[in-house]
Amino acid sequence: MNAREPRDLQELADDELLAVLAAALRPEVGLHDAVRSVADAAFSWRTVDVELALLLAEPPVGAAPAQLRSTQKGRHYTFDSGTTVVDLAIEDRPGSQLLRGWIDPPAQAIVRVVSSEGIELASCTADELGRFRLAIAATGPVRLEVTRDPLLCTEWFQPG
Amino acid sequence: MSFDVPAEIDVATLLRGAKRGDEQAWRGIVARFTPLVVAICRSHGLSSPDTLDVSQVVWLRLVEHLERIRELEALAGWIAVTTRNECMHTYRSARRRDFVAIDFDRPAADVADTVVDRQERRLVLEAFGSLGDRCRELLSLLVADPPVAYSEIAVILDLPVGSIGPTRQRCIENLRKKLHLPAEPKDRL
Repeated sequence: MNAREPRDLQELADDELLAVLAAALRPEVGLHDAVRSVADAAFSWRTVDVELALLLAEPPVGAAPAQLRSTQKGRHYTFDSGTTVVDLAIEDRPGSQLLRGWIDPPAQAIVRVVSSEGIELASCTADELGRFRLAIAATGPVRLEVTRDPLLCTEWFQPG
Repeated sequence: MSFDVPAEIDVATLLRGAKRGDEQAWRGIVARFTPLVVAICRSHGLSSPDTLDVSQVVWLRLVEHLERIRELEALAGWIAVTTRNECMHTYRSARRRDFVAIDFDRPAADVADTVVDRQERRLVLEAFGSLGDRCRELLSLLVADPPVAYSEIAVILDLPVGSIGPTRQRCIENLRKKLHLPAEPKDRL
């Protein structure tokens, strides 16, 4: 079966000895793929807590929901309530995110960023052209609340 | 299912993407550090099923901690420490550490598997199992496939990069001293 004679392993050069060790420790074929598949499953658990929190975090009574109409590469969002559109661009800054938005039709309005726990993370007043800028340091999903009549409330989105 | 990630994408970019929920970025991190997790499990004498159990805990904990890992250099160290702790936990739970039993009867399909090859692997594993923790871990990382970079090994073992070479030499010498000349083939061979 094998023409090679047993070697005296103590006499092997370092690299030869390491090669024997590498062969001995080498995982069976498919183990790396199995480890990666386990990781895939772990990542899918990432949003379980958040999704549960969002189910429980209903928008304020009477608020007009602005649904996500489009997103480009996850950093530009367009929310549409049917009567009002909010365009939003997100820029990463060191330790924070800058949210620049436009409300259409334009009007002065208070814009609040609210976390899934219902905490106001930042607020500002949009100018007469409907433009606003907000800096936040959020790690979880947030939504915008715009003081129109009725109050406009966007879907949750992930700024960071 | 694809685990392919372009080589030019660095870990910092992958880390930012994974924090945003980018599944492909997460897979990139996993692909990058799977050899490290497996190598540490092997250094602790864990079988493949135990390696899978440990890796499951490591990845779940990483998902939980992603937001808190700010520094790129901390990622390899965090994964190594968490894997090491889980290996120790598994070892204590199983009350075993039998290096010769590491898939010895199920060698990798791409490894030559003659009687002499198996005998050599058995001997070297016996010697390897009697080394200290740090030597075992260092040698496992050095023979991992794909290889773990020296800079990463330095972080994982808390060693200056410059001392990895001399430490490697000492560990190989220790391994050599613990090797015994092949005796008569044993029954299991």
